[in-house]
Amino acid sequence: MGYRVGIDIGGTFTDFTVIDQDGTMAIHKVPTTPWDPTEAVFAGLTGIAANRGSDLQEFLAACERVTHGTTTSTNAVIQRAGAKTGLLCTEGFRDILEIGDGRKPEVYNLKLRKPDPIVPRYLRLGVPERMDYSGAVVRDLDEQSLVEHIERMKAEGVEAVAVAFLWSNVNPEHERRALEIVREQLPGVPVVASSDVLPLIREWPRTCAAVLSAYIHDGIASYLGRLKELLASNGLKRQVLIVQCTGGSATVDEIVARPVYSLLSGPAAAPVAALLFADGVGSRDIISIDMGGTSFDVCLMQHGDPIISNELRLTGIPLGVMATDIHSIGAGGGSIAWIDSGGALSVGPRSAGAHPGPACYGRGGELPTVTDANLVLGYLNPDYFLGGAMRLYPEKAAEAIRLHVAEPLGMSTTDAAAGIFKLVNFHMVQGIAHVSVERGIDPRGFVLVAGGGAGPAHAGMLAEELGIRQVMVPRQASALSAAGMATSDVTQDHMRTLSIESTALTAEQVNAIFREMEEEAAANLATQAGIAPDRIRFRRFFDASYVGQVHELMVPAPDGDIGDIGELVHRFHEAHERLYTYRIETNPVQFYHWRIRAIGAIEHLPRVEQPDAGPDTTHARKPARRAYFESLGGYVETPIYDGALLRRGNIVIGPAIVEDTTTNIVVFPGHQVTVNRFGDYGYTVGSS
Amino acid sequence: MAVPMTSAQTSASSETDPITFAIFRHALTAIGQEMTVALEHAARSPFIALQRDHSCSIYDHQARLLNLEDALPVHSVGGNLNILEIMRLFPDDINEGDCFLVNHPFYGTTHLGDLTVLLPVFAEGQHVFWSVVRAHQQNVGQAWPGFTATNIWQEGIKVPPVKIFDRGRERHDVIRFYLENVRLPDWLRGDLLAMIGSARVAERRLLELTSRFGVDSIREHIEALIDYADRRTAAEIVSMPDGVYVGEGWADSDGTGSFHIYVRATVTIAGDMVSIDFTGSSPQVDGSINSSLGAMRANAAMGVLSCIDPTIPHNEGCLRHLNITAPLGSVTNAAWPACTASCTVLIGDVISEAVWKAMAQAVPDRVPGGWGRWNVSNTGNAGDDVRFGTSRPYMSSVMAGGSAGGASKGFDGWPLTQTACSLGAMKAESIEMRELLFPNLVEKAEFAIDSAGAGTWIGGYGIELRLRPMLTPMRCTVGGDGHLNPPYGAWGGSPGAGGGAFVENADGSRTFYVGKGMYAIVHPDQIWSTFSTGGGGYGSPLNRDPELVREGVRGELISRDAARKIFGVILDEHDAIDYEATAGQREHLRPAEHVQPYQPAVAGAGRWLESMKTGRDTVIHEQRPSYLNKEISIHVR
Repeated sequence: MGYRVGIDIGGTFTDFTVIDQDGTMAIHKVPTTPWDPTEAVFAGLTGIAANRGSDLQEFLAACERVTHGTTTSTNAVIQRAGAKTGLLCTEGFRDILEIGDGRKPEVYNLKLRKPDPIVPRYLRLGVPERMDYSGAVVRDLDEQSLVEHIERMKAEGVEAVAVAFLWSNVNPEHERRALEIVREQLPGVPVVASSDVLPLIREWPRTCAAVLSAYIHDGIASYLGRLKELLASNGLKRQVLIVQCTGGSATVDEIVARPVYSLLSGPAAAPVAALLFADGVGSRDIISIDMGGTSFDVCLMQHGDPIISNELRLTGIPLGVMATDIHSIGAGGGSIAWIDSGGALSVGPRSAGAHPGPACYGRGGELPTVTDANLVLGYLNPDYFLGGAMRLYPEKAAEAIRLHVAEPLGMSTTDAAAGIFKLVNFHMVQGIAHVSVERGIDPRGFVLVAGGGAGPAHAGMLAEELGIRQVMVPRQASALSAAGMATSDVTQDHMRTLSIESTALTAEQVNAIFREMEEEAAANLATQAGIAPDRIRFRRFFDASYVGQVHELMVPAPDGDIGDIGELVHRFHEAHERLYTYRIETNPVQFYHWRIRAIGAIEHLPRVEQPDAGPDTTHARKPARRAYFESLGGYVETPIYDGALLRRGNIVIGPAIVEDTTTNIVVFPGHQVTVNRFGDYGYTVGSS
Repeated sequence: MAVPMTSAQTSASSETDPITFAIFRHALTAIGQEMTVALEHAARSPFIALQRDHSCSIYDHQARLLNLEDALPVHSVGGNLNILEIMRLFPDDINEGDCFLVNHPFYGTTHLGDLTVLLPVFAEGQHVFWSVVRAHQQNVGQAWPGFTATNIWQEGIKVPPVKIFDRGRERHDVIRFYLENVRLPDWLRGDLLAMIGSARVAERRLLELTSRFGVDSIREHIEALIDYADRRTAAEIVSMPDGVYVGEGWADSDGTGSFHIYVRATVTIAGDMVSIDFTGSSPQVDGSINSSLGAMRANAAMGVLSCIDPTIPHNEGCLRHLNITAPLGSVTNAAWPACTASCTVLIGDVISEAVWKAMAQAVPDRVPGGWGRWNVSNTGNAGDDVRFGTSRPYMSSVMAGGSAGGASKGFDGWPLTQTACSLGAMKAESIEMRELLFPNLVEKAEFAIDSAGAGTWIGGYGIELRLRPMLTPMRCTVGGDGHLNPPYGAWGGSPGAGGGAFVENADGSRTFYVGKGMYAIVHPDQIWSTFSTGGGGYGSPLNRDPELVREGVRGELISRDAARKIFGVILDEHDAIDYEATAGQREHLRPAEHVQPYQPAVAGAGRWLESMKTGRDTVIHEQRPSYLNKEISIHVR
């Protein structure tokens, strides 16, 4: 057994989580280097090695797993900075990307920009060819025009090609042939077929999945290739794994084959860690929040399963794939407070990022941020930010708030800071409500797992407003995603289309289709990631509706072979009634898609338990300072505790502040913190 | 992310703090969304499940609209009328466990197609809310499909408010009575179950909300929510210049041979009130486009609500600032027993267009170029599906060929927005789903060149859709509008191209259909071809970024001819912009006269048919059916 490392590149910091052979976890943070993210990766790894009295070569050689989350591809899509991409589609259907599902969001907003379709129309070229719904060829592939289109793309300097024909999910033959021809004609240009990425019915999401994959292919392939090469040349003997939007990780080769899975992947790892940490309080109903420098990500898990969705979109473009449903809003420590044209205070979504950062960083940032407000309110220790690694300048924070918020609003700097704190909390409460209350889920019985550098300063207040009683702040809170990466399973999703009614379907067909996918996935995981077959488990799903309905429901199928099709039909009725209040037993069921997720489970190391040290906390007391609490009427002398010295059983009563190396817990009046057996902070709202 | 911090903007009264208020407000929005998902996913018929022709809304016990965020504008603004009728017909007989059904346009519904489920929600023994689900049905038991009815009895089964649940007991007899009178009863039964299910989802959530806050607090928050929208709407309207503004529009036809049916909107802005009056509009017609009261009010209100800050919640507080009237017996407010089957879209789009044209004079920056109307493809096709051994009848609307939205100042229009009465809220089915569910082969679904209204900002493009029936013939209903009277261009923008439909024969000759109330029988060796209307442009095309015009030419969406003659952009043989020649051309084209708020301002300006028709083609025009002249009126109630 060696080290397990998770590396998460955020907008502000690059976070590392290292799990030692004995199961202890440590975190490390360095500022993100946007011009070349690998710079921060190497600075961080070198630092970690040095902390262990070793060098980079030696440390990497001792690593068993290095899992990385990257925002390279997501940013490429957001900034439309991917490759110049061409689309070969069925003739007569050049506009699938722009037509979409015909729905304009924000109905009453007549000033809404249409999503940029990524591929301009002159590079969307229709090829004479056609299949029907059954996969039968209606029109042969016209290879001559295909070649002409490729010529045109070549002349236009196209750097990547997507091929997405109608009904390729049922019969991929024409797409396969087109792929061959493109490869012959445009050697070195990446080409992605929709049937390889998302072989499901509905041409819009399938085309999007192919186009996105082609668009980001070179960017992600070269970035990951470079990272892999650099890590290998510096001693890493194992593969680098990349976290996917499903929360599971995959090899670089797998990501390069289906790049769409790397989109929106960063935040998907946080829930993995939240689940692990919440084990400490024995709960599997969890809301994980991750408040970093730029954004606030929320994920809800019921019975340990994150909500999954195949409706995720990025800049209006659907990903199509089944992903962990993370809700993200532009609220973080770096979010800038400003006064809008109507004279109202606003916070975010613009962020000061790492450079120049909040005013209090003293790096030239002049605009007030949430971090500046927290500093003015006394929630942060200017001499102990990142464990003292970075000095903060309270006078710069106060000045920025005074100049840009307090004076324009005619209020004191303190009231302005308190307003910023309250307003950003309001946005986050709404973000949490979006994944819970707005889905009909009452958040009050859930445990709020607070992550991100800034999360634990706000979590208590968020919980109070939502009626949540229990908050969990892991020691690794500030690197929640990185911790999730270090502990994520290797997963692979496979899917097939077989549209058939329950009356015509046999158990043998179902078993065969699932087994075929499972065998393929197992073979992939074995060859690519070296995962032994006995470490792989499978989850089976099917998409179905009542015959005559047109929206399918994704339903978990039993593990392993079924004896009778009735087992699936029964599960469908159950799911339909649970979600939509009724079932029609007499109605046959229409099946559409079959999916499996192969999970190469990693062996979790037992977490290290501490001996009970009792409730006394005097050993961890630091000099008190004044901090602002609205319910107490303003600034009060507030006890400060050194988190590093707090032990299992220690109890901190609010108002108080716990300063850990990379995070800061504000314990609000009436709340309390009890350190649990793993050393994590169990935070209770109200006296328990 | 901006949240105003002044108490005047965040909450309404001293009893409600901003956070609780925000939770209540957003909870209602979320419930509307959850109802919608439950309905859409559980429904059987494509109208609801695929095309979103439905709305879920929440009213309080006094029939005041509380939430409409996720709804089709035409469905819900006037939805209080149904509730008021129920209150009138069931005095002291609205009880916990009841559920009502209604589709009758003279009892407050928009048109017969929009079946509505209304469920009173009781908490602590008090009636607090109404949960309302309205959904367009695939069939209403009409005599003939399409636009052929000339009185309300021919339009289908009329359901005045009836109880389908009475104190929790299901009225099987009433439901059976309804289902016996419609085609496809199995589909419609599934849809009805989905609608009731959706209303119950809302009930469940609303009860959670009331148990969390208590009924008294909920009632305070209802007032606060209404006051909040009231105040913000008032501020918006006060900022508009007072005055009397007139807008005019024309429906192409009514299905029985009347063409260019006139709608006149007089909009008076005074202080914090907007009054809209339709005096001067055409008298009601024989065909089915006459507006019900509910649909007229909703479509007129949309013309104003779309001009105020979209973040203002659309509830009773907004509607208080609108005073909408139309003379009874006019096409905008038909008297019993007129036909209203297609009024939501087919006079509805003209009603909202006339209001927009008036509003454009008051708030030029906020009103878009005209939107395409309900297209001929949408009116549907039907036939028998014999692909799977048996013969199954099918009916569908081809939404994938719908019309486009207009441009707004600063923004190009969206394609496939279908109709202004939905403001883009409807969805189109995927091509593959259509081909799996129906025996249709779609041969083309692409933007049509030069179909968008030109402008500094251009309208959305119309869609050319070619549909071939598989194995058996299909019957296509000819309807749709905006072909002869295409969407207006605003402030110098051009109107969108009209559009229309034809059957293409194996020999390439074509039969065009102009108007409504006809069928085209299309055989497997023929193609049903529809061109939807592009949206109107905004601002002079001579001010459009030449780079965007070039992109349009390269993408084969703007012809070189249009680039030169309409946009004044000259490209060389390598598609590069000749800036000097462009400047000269633009100077040459620039009109001397004053820019009008909208154009055209006359009826019948569409030129699509002339641009398409060749000597080999034939044209079939909408006729006045002979029976209309002979029918003896027995309009006695």
